Amino acid sequence: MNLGGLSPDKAPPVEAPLTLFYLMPFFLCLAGLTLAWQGDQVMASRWAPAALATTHFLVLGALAPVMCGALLQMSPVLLGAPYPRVRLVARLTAAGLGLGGVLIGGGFLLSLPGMLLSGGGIAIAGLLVFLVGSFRALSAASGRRETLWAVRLAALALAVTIALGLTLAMVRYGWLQLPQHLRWIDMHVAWGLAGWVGLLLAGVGMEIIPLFYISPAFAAGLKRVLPFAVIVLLLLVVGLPGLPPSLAQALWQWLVSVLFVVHLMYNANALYVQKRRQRPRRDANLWLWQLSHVAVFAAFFAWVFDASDSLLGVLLLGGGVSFVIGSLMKILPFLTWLDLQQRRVAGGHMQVSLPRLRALLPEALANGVAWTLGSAMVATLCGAFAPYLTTLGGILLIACAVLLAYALVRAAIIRRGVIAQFSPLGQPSGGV
Amino acid sequence: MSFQETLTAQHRACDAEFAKIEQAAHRKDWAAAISTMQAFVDDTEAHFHYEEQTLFPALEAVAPMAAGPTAVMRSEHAQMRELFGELQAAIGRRDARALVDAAETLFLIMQQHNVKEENVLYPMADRTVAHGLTVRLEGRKGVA
Repeated sequence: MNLGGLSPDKAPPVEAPLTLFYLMPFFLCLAGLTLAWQGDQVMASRWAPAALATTHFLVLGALAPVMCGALLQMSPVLLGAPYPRVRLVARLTAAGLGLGGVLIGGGFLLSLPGMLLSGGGIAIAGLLVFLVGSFRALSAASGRRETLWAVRLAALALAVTIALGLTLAMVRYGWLQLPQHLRWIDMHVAWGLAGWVGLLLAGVGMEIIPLFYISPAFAAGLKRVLPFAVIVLLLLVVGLPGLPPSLAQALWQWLVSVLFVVHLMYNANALYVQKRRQRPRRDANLWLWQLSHVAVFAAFFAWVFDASDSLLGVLLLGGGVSFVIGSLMKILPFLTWLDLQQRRVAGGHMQVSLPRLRALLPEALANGVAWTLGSAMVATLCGAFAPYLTTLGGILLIACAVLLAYALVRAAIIRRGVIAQFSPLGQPSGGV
Repeated sequence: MSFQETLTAQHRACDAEFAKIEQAAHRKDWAAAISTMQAFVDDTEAHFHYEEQTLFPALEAVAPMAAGPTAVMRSEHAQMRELFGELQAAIGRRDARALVDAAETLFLIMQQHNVKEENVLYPMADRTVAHGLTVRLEGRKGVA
C-alpha cells in the first residue's frame, strides 16, 4: 500500500504549482495582444500565423502550465501518487513551457523557422520532464481506477501531441515530407484537444465536480469508458493518412463526430450533476465550469453546421481556458491557506490568525476574472461576423489576464505577510 | 460492511448535513442553520472520535508505517475543529458573509481529507485490521 500521498513530508510545496500558475496571465496577455492586433486574420483562417500563434500561446502557455501544476498538487491527494522531486519538475516544466511558448508563438508571428523549431525543442524538453515525473508518479499510484486511467491516458495523449507537433514543425519548413500532411495537422489538434486537454479535464472533472458541490456522482459507465473510448478513436485517426484522401476525409468527419459525442456525454453529465448540487451558492468557479461545458456543446453545433475552423477553435480553446481558470479560482486561495495553516501548526504559531479564503481571493475579483473571460469569448466569436469585435475580444482577454495576475500576486503578498509573522525576526521564511 | 463502505457513507452523510447548513443560511433561516450545525458537529465529532480512538490505533498497531499518515489525519481533524468554532460563531452572529467564508474553507479541508482517507487509509484498514473491529463498527448506529 502506497502511503506516500498522506505523508506530511511528501505533500507538494505550494511553490511547485504556483511556479506554473504564474505563466497563465502572461500568456493570456500575449494571446489577447495578438487578437487585438491581428484578430481579423485569426478569425479568417486557422492557418494564419496569428491564429497559430494565438493557439500555441493559449495551449502551451495558459492551459498546459495550470493543468500540469494542478496535477502536481492533486496527484498525491486524488491518486496517492506524489511526484518525485516536485520542485525541480515544476521549475523545468515552467521554464520549458514559458520560453518555448514565447518562441513558438513568436516564430509563427514573425515567420522565423529557427525560432519556431528552437521553441518547439524547449517546450518539448519541459513537457518531457513533466511526463517522466508523471510516469514515475502514476506507475505507483493507488487512487480511484477511473481517474487514474484518465490521467494516464491524458499523459499518453500529451506525448503523442508533442511528437506530432515536432514532426509538423519539420514538415512546415521542408525538413521532412509527409503524405496528406494536412491530415497530420488535424491529428495533432485532435490528440491535443480531445486527448490531452479533453481527457484530463473530463477525468479530473468527474472527480472534483461532485466533490466541490456535493452533487450526485457521474455515471459509473461514463467514468469507466470515456478515457478508453477517446484513446481508441484517436488511434483510429492515426490510420487516416494511409487511406485514399476521399475515404480519409469521410472517416475523419465520422471520427470527429463520435469524439464530440463522447465528450458531450461528459459535458451533459457535468451540467446535470451541477444542476443537482446540494451547495446552493453560485460562484465564479461554477460559472466558468458551466461556460466551458456550454462552449463544448456550441462547438459541436458549429462542427455539425460546418462553421469556420476559427470559430470552432475559439469555442474549444475558450472552453478549456474557462474550465482551467474556474478551477484556479478554487485552488489558488485554498492552496495558499493550506500552506499557511501547515506552517502555523508546524511552527506552533497558533496565536497568528490566518486570512480567510475570501480575503485571499475576494469574490468581486474572481467574478471580474470570470466576466472578462466570458465577454472576451463572446466578443471574439462575434468577430466571425464583425471582424472589429475580435479587437474588443483581445482587449477583454488582456483585462482578464491583468485581473488574474493581480489575483495571483495579491495572494502571494498576503501569504508573505503572514509567513513574516511566523518568523521571530519578522522576515518571510519561504519563497512566494 | 467494510471500513471503506461504512466510513465513506459517514463522510457523505456529514457532507449532506453541511449542505443543509449552507442551504439554511442561504435562505436566511438561522434557526434551521443552528440546529443543522449542531447535528453536523455532533456527527462529525462522532466520526472523528471513532477514527482517533479506535481505527487509527488499530492501524498503527498492525502497520507502524501508518503512524505518519494517521498523525496527518489527526492534525487535519484539529484544523476542522477550529473551523467548526468559526462557523458556529458566524451563525451565532447571523453573519452570512463570515459563514460563507468559514464554510468554504472548512468544506475544502473536509473534501481533501476525505479523499485521502477513502483512497488510502480505509482500503488499508480493510486489508490489515482485524475483522472483529469491523463488526463493532457496524454496530454503531449513532454516527452516520
